[in-house]
Amino acid sequence: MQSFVLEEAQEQNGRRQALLLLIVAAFVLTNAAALSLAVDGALRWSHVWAPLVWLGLVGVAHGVLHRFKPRRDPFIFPLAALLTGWGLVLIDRLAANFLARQVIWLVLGTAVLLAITTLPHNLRLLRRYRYTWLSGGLLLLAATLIFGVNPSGYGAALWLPVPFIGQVYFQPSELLKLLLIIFLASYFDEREAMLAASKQNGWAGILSYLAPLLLMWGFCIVLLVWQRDLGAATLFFIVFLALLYMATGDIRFVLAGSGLMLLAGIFAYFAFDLVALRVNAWWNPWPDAADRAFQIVQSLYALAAGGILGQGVGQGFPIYIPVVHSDFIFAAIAEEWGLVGSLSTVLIFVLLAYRGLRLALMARRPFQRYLAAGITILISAQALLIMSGVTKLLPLTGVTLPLISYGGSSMLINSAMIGLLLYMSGAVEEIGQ
Amino acid sequence: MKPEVPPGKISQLLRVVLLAFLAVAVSLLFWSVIRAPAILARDDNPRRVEAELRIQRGLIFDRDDVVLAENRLENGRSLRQYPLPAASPVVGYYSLRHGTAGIEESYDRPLRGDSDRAWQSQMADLLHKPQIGSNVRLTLDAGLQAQADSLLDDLAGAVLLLRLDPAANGGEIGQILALASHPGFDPNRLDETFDDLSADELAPLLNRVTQGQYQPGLALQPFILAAALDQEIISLDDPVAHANRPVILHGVATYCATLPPTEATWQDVLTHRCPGPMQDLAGKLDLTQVFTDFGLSQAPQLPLNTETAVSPPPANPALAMIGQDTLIVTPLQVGVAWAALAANGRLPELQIVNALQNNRGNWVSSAPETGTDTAVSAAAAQRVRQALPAADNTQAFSTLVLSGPGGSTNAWFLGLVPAEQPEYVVVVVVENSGDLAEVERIGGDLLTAVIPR
Repeated sequence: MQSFVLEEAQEQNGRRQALLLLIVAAFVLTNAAALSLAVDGALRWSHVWAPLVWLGLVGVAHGVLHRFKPRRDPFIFPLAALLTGWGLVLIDRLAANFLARQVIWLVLGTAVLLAITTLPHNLRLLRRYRYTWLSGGLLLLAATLIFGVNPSGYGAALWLPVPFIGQVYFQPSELLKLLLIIFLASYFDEREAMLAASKQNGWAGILSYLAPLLLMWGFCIVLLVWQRDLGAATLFFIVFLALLYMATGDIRFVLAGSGLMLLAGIFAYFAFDLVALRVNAWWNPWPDAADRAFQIVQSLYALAAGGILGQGVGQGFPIYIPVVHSDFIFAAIAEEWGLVGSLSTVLIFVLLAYRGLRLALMARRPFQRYLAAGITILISAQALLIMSGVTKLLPLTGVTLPLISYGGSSMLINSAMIGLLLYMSGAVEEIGQ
Repeated sequence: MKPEVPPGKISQLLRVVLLAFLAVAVSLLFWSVIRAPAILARDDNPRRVEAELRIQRGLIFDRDDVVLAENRLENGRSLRQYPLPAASPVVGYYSLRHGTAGIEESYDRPLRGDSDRAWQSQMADLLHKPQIGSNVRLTLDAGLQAQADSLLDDLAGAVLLLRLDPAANGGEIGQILALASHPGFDPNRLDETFDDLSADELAPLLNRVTQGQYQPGLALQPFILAAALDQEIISLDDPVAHANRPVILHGVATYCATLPPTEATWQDVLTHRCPGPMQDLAGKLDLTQVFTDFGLSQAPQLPLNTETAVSPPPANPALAMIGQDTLIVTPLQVGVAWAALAANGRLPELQIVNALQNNRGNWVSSAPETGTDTAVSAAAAQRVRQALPAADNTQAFSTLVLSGPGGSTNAWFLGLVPAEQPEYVVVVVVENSGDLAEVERIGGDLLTAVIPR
């Protein structure tokens, strides 16, 4: 009887995900068709092929998940699929020459997602060899100091060329984000009991508890700052503080960390021209609208032009924003889909955050709890940082909008993180409701 | 047993995340809705240019629907083209960089398709309807405009050709058939030549017909004599002593244009364009009133930029009688005064726009409202016209006018056709010309061109 109820619940779970995916597919394909009509006046293969590949990948992934993870959260994958599908339409709209490359990364990302979701014992491997994983990531990041390039030909050299493929680059800091979360989750998991004891010894005890952690984390920050990848450094800080708060329950860590972050920001303002430029452009962009604040001002124009209902896909002018297909893709959404579209994007990330943290809440093992929370906080913080930058709520930090923006490494690692969430959601006893 | 993370901590994290997303949502609302109008209105917003380029501006036609301004679509953008550059003094130009002029300026809203109804604009915007402007039909005749332009050739000056059209209420409409100004500009090449045009001493961007400021000189003679006749101060048959007496202007003695008979009359004064006897009328005629009656002291109502010098009352009545005092006129004003004489004293309202096409494709007439103001009586007007020399059913009055202390002269030609019942009037000014034959050729050719019509 219990088995029958469970099977029924799993079927219902599958139907729910299938229904959500149908809605998502209708949205993506309709927008792809609308884009084709708006740009070429007819349905053209060049605008449809990528969404069709996406549809195929989503179909395969749904089948595999249904087969191997029947008890997975039914919302996480459709939300991620919506972001990637919408992202493809946007990249076709904004930088069509990058579309094929993004599709390849999406194929790889989906393969990684399914591999993580279906392969057994993967969490145990991650947890056990945390120092190895993180050290590997740090080595890769350190390699960018010597071999690093920037595919666009200018700016920070954060990418490594992928050997034997040519014109394909990987950004180690993206991998490092995931590895650091795994490290933190594993560390907090293993040392929770020690924390309780160290608390009794006052600050000295807590410092001894945190010392290895701070050392590894500090390495990451130093390397990232060295590489001028300040967006990733900020993300690391936020995730670290969030997990530290989860582990210690002590708000003083958060306050102290926030104070440190502020001090670091002030230091960076005076130490790095890029930071000073971004802060000045954020504080008052209008006097320098044609020059150094051009990007943020164009972004604000895009938001204003979009209004409530937007200009319609392919009918706005988001291409005035430099690097719109990467850092400023959210502004393009606001211009062409309006406030309705931009708020929907916010809502998608809110739902993703809710499902991710709910997963953390329901996880039976601390490692899974920290991992789910860390991944969720990372995705949410990254989305928040770039959305806040685009809307002039915070200075720009130069990170991508997860799963939407153009960026191969980002797509691959975000897919892996979604895969981990799905894996963990499939392992909890309750069906996600 | 390891201590577990209290669920409250994750919930608190969730609340922080939700609050942060809420802040983003509020920021979106602020920029997309509340601040949007102010942001979008900024001059450095490139979307304004793009939106402008998407507007399918209305076409401008001549009276026979010959296209004078049209659009060429290029990559979804609408580029303005002018098939007849010679019409630029009327049609003007539309440039994203330099704005608008002429009819493009005065009829900008209908040409752009701007709606006066806010809800219509909102609905069109919501439905992403392309903004399509209304077509405008002018009274201009493309053939005559081209001919007027070509007759001026490389001379600096102005040509105005009007067709008189009696209105139902007894008023008169003066439809502009040709309005040429030289040197001019090619509106198709405005963006690339604008700086040179602006710096050019000959002011090619100036519309000499509507904005050119000229000393009228003896071009005023027909009007002053008509007023004197009307007020019975003189009769054209009255004898005039010493008609060819000299008038000293800036140290130069000025005589009649042609030698009058020894026993001359006021008709001879007009026919031979004698300045001396005109000064005898000083003090007998209220010149300020005469100038007002003939529309010489106010700007004609026309949807083109017109300039009218605010002339002080005559300082030297003797000089004022020969148009060498304070009064400065545009050829357009002289055209109105000349048309009043041709229309038996009725002061005409000028018309340059014939009709506007509404969104259902129907043409709606734009005839001006006419008054019944008269400059002089019909009898006085007819008497002056009869006194003018006639040839080939046309009547003309031409004179050289001292244009300043330097001794340079402008040549004026006032003509009308047919002589019996004038329907067309022409005014020509050629700057720095001492050759009346030149201006008479231009005016005469234009009048010849309209006679068969």
